[in-house]
Amino acid sequence: MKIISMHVNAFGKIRNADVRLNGGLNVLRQSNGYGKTTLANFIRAMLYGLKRGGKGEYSLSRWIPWNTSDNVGGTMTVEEQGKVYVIERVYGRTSREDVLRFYLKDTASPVQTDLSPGEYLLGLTAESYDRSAYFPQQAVEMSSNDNFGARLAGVVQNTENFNSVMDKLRAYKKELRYERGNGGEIYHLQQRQRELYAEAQNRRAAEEKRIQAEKRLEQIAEEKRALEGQERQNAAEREALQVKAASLRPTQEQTESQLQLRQLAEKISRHGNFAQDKAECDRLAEEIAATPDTAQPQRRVNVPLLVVAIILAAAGAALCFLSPWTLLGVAAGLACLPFCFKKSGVVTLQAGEKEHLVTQFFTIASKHVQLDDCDFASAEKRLQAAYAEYLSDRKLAEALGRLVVPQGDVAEAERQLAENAEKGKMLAEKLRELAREEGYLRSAASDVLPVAEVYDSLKNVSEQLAQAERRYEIAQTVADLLTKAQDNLSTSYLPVLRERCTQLLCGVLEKDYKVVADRNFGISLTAEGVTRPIEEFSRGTQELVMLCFRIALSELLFQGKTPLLILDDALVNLDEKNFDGATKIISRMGNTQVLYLTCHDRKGSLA
Amino acid sequence: MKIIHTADVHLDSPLAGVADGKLRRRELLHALSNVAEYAKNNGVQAVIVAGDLFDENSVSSETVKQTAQIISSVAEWFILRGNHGGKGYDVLKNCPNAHFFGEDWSYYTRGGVTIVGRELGVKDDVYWQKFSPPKDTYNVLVLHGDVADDSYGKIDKKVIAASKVDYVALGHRHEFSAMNFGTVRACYCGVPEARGFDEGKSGFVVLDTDKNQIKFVESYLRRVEKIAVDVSAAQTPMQAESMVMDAVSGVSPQNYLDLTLKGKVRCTVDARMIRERLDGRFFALRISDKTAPDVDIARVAKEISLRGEFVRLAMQLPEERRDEVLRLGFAALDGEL
Repeated sequence: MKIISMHVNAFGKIRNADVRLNGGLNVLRQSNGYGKTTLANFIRAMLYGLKRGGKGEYSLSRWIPWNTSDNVGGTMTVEEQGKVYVIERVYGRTSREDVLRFYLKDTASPVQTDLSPGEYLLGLTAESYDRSAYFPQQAVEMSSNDNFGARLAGVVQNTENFNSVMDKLRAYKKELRYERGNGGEIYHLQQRQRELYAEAQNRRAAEEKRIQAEKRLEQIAEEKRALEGQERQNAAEREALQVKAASLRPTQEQTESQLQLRQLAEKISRHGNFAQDKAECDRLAEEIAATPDTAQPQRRVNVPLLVVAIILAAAGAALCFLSPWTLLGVAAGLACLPFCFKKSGVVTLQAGEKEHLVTQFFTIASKHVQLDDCDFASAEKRLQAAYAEYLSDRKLAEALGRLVVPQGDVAEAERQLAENAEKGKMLAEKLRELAREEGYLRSAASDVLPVAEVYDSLKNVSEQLAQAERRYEIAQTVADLLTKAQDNLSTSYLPVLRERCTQLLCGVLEKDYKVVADRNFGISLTAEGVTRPIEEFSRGTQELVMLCFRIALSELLFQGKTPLLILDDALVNLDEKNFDGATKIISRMGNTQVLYLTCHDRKGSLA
Repeated sequence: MKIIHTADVHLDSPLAGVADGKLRRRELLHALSNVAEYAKNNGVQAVIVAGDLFDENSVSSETVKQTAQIISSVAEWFILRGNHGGKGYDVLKNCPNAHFFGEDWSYYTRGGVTIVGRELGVKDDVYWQKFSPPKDTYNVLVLHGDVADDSYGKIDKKVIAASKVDYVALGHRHEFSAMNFGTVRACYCGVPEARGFDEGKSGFVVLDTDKNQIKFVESYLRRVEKIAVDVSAAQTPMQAESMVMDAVSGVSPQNYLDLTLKGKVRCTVDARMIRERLDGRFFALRISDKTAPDVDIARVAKEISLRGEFVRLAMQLPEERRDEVLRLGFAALDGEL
């Protein structure tokens, strides 16, 4: 492509200017501030446009004229492969007002393409154009701080600083996951995930306990109902018992009667079976009264005669019914009976029989009455009196017994009341126990946090973790690919560039130099058999080598010859010798339209 | 006879990405209640739940209790467990109007309609050989599984076609779809209330056996609104954000917003910044960044540059990762990381 002419409507400080170029070398020598760089940028803007928004060389805002309301824009006429094209651009206030017309000059027919005019005509993207067709001063200039290899790598890779790119990528990855140690979003999410798993398990266990607690609470409610029922019943029983006990409780009179009754009972019981003893004593008294004081002779019995009498009587009795004669016999027998008993001539006295009876009487009666120094008659009287008193006591006791409440009934009532109270206490204690257990279970159950919310958080965290891990994996892939891309570039293109650079150098310098490049863009020069790093050479030599590399790259990008080269004071720092060398290189770039912009007079081999 | 066909309620399931998971779970229960309400108001005699009523072990006893109350209130319910079982079904067995399916075929005939089903996953081939619905009734087959893949309970379409039933009530896939297997009609009934973004319209199917008609009844408490925003025209990230804010201004805050960013962009669109701006505005939010750099990848791939070489290498990646790698790579190369 060759630029034929340009008309600048308004672009930076240039207003309404026309420029015509020839197909070979074009030198524009003007002082600083004239607009040389502006013109170079105008050419780029025509080919590739300007960005709206942002700042920088390729932003519209950079080139808006100051003191006029003219719109940025202009026209450029170019020739490519025998055809003449016109590029017209105007930038309005908004993107809607922007105009781009790209057409064939002779037919005015628009060029049918989605590409920018620069890509269409040169076959290069804007970024490649910047590395191949336009050499500003900074393109070649080497300062003392510059690292040649890094500069060259930046140009070849079209990345300012590969290391800086990788550092930012590493920092991005580190936010997600530390390379060493624990840290990063992924680590924290994993930790959180573990915490939530544990929390979920705890809550599930607590939920299980809560369910068991609720079952137990239902049981407790049942038991409480039963116990309260028993309590009510117990209370009713207590009331009845209290009424009963109150009714059974003796009055003062009854208490006294009760005491009297107790005493009478004791007195009566001391007599034992007085009635029996009295009866015996009465009998003994009768016998005593019937017993004479003197002894009576004893009658003896004639036994043999008695026997005969008895036999005769018996036989006669048997034969009585046979005849009157037998009946006479029986009568005779019976008449003999008295003679069986005859008085004995011996009389036996039973000594003290009456006394014996009296003794018996006293023995029995003394159980009931004091009989010291009294005779029988007195004893009898005393016994009689005692017995009468005994009977009287019994009557009185009977009467009193009817008056007083049996001690047993009152005691029984008291016992039942005590039993009821004991039962009441036991029921109350059980109810308290149940209430305590109920309270504990309720508070334990209410403290249970729902497990579903933990699962929500867990799901959220798991999704975030998956996304973070994916971002990390993508970042790792990008890092791997960029590293491999750098390696590929240096492996594929560096040898080509090195070779061409050597050719260009050797063409202009007195010595034979050989450019050596390693895969990390470490550049060395071999001269006279000695290889030294480029940094050990003069600045001028370094800039010359850089220029050669740039030209070699330009040729590579244009896939052969460079159609357009704009040098914007790129060689200003070279000394005479190197300047001559550099211009010689450029002058040998046949078929390349060169636009040399400079503020100096020297032309070197470009003259 | 009118029958409601529903499934995949997933009561008490964990929910991610929503503003209030507890509230939403209550709404799932509410949706089931709406099904019962519809049944009551429209003379529906049977409700089929083709699986996944509960969400397994996360279901609470309170939810089970309330579900039992809903079920007990109307119609007869025919319930398949599906692949999300759980202890809750044991409680539902106490509902006198709830009937269940087991490993073997269970047949329930009511007034000329037979509802038959079984839990898939064990000896399916064997049980299919035993399948014999009555010939003189309208037969509804209930299954929970996938007609598409083997992930769970694979359902053989040929077997379904050969079954000659009148309708197949399916569960497992959450989006409503109606299909035909030969002369056999089948539906995935959808879900009564959406839990996520990918479940389509929520509702349930009503089958009228007398007229042999099916209709999908849409029903929802909250909808999923899908908005795609083309941010190609954005020159700056702020412009992209503004375009998004304009596009979503009409979306109800009560709903789910499924936002997709698309287009070829010249600037870096930061989806995370957009999320931060939209966070809390909607009940649930999902943002998918499907933007691609406004770069002719094929042209860049020809460049002799690090970017060109990177693109050449990235083109060898699988498609689903490629765009993400390119987006991040360009951001790194342009210093916008």
